[in-house]
Amino acid sequence: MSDPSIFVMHIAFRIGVYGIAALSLNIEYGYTGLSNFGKAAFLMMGAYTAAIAVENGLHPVIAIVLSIVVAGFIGLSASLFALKFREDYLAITMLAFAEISRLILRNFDDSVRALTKLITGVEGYTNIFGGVHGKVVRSFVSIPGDYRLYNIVQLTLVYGLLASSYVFVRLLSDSPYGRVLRAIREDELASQTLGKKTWVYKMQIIGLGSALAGLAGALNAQFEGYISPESFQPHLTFAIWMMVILGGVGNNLGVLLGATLVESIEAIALFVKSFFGYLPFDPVNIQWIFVGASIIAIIAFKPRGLLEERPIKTPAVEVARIGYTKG
Amino acid sequence: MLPLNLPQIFFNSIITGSIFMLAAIGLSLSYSLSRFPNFTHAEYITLGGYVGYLLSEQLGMPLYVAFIASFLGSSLLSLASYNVVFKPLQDRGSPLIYLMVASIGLGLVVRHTIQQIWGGSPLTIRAIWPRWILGHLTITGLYIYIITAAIVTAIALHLLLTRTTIGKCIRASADNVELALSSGMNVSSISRFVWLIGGGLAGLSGFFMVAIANAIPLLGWRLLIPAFAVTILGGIGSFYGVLIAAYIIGVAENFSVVGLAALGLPTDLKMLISFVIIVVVLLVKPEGISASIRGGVRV
Amino acid sequence: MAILKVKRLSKSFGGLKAVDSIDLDVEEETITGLIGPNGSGKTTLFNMISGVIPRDSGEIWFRGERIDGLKPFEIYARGIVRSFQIPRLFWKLTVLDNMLLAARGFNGESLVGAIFKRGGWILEEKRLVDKALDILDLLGLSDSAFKPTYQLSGGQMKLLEMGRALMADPKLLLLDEPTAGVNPKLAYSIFGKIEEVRRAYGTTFFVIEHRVETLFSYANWVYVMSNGSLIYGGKPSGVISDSRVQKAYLGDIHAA
Repeated sequence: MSDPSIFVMHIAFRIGVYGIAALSLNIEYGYTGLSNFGKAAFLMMGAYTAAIAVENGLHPVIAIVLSIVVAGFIGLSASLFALKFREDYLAITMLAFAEISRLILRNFDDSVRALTKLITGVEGYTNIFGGVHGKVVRSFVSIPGDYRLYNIVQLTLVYGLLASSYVFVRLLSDSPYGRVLRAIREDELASQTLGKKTWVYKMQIIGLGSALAGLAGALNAQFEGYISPESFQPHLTFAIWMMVILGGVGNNLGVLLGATLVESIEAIALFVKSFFGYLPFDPVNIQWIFVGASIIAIIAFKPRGLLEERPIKTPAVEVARIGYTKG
Repeated sequence: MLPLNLPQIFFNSIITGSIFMLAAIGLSLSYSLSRFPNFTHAEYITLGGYVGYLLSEQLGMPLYVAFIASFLGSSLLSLASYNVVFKPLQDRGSPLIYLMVASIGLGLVVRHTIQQIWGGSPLTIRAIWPRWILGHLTITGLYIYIITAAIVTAIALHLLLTRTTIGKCIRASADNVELALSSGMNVSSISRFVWLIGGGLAGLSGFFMVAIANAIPLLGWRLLIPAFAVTILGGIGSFYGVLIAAYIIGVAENFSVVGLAALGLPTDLKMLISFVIIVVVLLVKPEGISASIRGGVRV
Repeated sequence: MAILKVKRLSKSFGGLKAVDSIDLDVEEETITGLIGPNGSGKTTLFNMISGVIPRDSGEIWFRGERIDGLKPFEIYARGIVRSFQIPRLFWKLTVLDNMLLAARGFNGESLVGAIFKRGGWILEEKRLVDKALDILDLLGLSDSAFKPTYQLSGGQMKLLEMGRALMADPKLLLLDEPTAGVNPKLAYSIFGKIEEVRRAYGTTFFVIEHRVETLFSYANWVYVMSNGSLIYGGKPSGVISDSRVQKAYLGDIHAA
């Protein structure tokens, strides 16, 4: 790696992207207790939507909006079935859903080709998703020649959207709405007897969480410049879970810290791999062995994560709390 | 369109079903006894495959030695993961989802250790199997091995579960852990036994997969979705449910492969069958077919 | 006037008749007791009234409106609030959060409201916080308002469960063993609070209770259930002398 700034840039960008993904899982699992093990699928849907949108000459802003809408809509549709399940069934179903989505994407073009031939008898040509070969994705930012400025614009884009996502998630979680989410997480039946339409909340949250994941997927795709179904393996879902559990379930700053740490481990592995050339071991293997072992250690010794969940802060409650501590 | 070779499709279904059965028994029983879906189970399959490869191909040992070693290697890994990771986590009060995440984490540790040792490229066993042709049906020595292993396992487990004390304890605990605990059964040691046997059978299924195709680090993960489909269709914790469900899904997969191939569609899409089964069973009848086996009454 | 009317209500589980064709009325602004041996169907009856489990047959009328077949949240919206035998509180949330969650029709709890109509819900919540603190004060829980709920004692949890129910301005409160697991002295003081609340807010109470003596000091009317059937309905003073009750139940009281 000739220019260390490219490397640092790469890591900084990924932290921003996975920060958004970690926030999205935090509203689902951290606040609402929804064990979505299919996160990779929603990043994938956002990524492919953005890729196809820019490929067809749409403006990057429209591409971003489309990936949010498409991923959110698919999440909402999946939730119609998935939310009838108890948590372990939801986890298995979502994980299988992600793997199946990947399988379908990989085989989509071939299948369309085969069906066209079957129906019309003509050997057609379809190349929407690129099958196993994946897709080249045009960048949202186009500044020929000035790599420095390009990087600055990319970072501004991702961190601007991360900050907006953070504010959005904070507004949701520190509100009476967020209080209901936590009540659903603690005891869904009791929430229902208090008159909460829990399925409405759960659908909204899966929809919003998937939309945010779609945004993260779109941003990453245009930055990396290439996507394929193999980029969205269960490893990715697991890494996002790791960020949330390590950083602190139900703590928005915590999960951002988690994203930073997990991506830093990834960065070290990439750095070692590219810097040292031949090694007797593959740093990527060591990275995943380390990540896998650490999550077990965290669950055993620090299950609430590095930054623990705090009570809900709304203006009225804060005023009362201050009055209480003074009185 | 190709003429349907029904005898061959059914025969292949039996092979697939036998492998699914071996792969899913441990998953199903440990899910109900330890009350979480163990994703490390995929790696017991993978490890069995690689241990078998190591012995038969790298060390040139006879096949039956590889066969036994793949069982032993995976059963030890399974037991160790229960003793060292999952039991202590459960004693610390880890919730279900955390146990599941830990099992994915442990799976990554095992899978990437395997990948570090044997690399990521596919490895094949260059054994030459005897081959018989009976009309339209082609049978190889490997298939005889697989069917024999499945039959022996089914009969042995049936006898174990119905004739021995530990077997009866396993059935009782798989059916209702609270009841088993309150009636004074040592559920921990029953669990250890189940993890040991279940892991070993998964290792065997991995070895068969390697013998049929090849060894890759994602071997077990690819078999995990069908194994979950078998577990859920059979009813979590039901041995007889697994027996029946494995062959139902085996038949479904093999017919879907024929159908997909006839339409010119990618045969990879056969995995959809397992996914649809998981979703439909969980929506319509989450207790699976086990309730019907016992006449609708859970005892 | 009867606020709640139950007509020929039945429920079976498998072959077992948990509630067998029950008729009863609960008069407005009373404390009405429901007693009976374990497994006599009291909690099942409450579950059906609050809509948690569907009935097999029969009718439930609340303030002149038929409510059987409605969903739990619809019944809640009409003013029937229940507490559980084992308090179903949100353990990790604070006591105040538990109270606020019970308010009905709070606009800040909708997605759009939470984000875009902050001005609206902030004022609304201020009112609810004041109301919650008043109720906590009445119940003697104001010192614990900002504690996580799992830190409360057993008796305090019972009181919080009732306080939470009061947040919804209920017309009818269904209490399932409000004094289970607390000492006898505290049991009397819990019923004292119930009576205070009844006077202050005009709430009707329908109470399952095993501490018969405590209940009888406060209840205006008592029903007795046994094996899914209603075997007595009348003044508390008449229970002791009723022969069917003696046969089905009194042995149980002395045993307890």
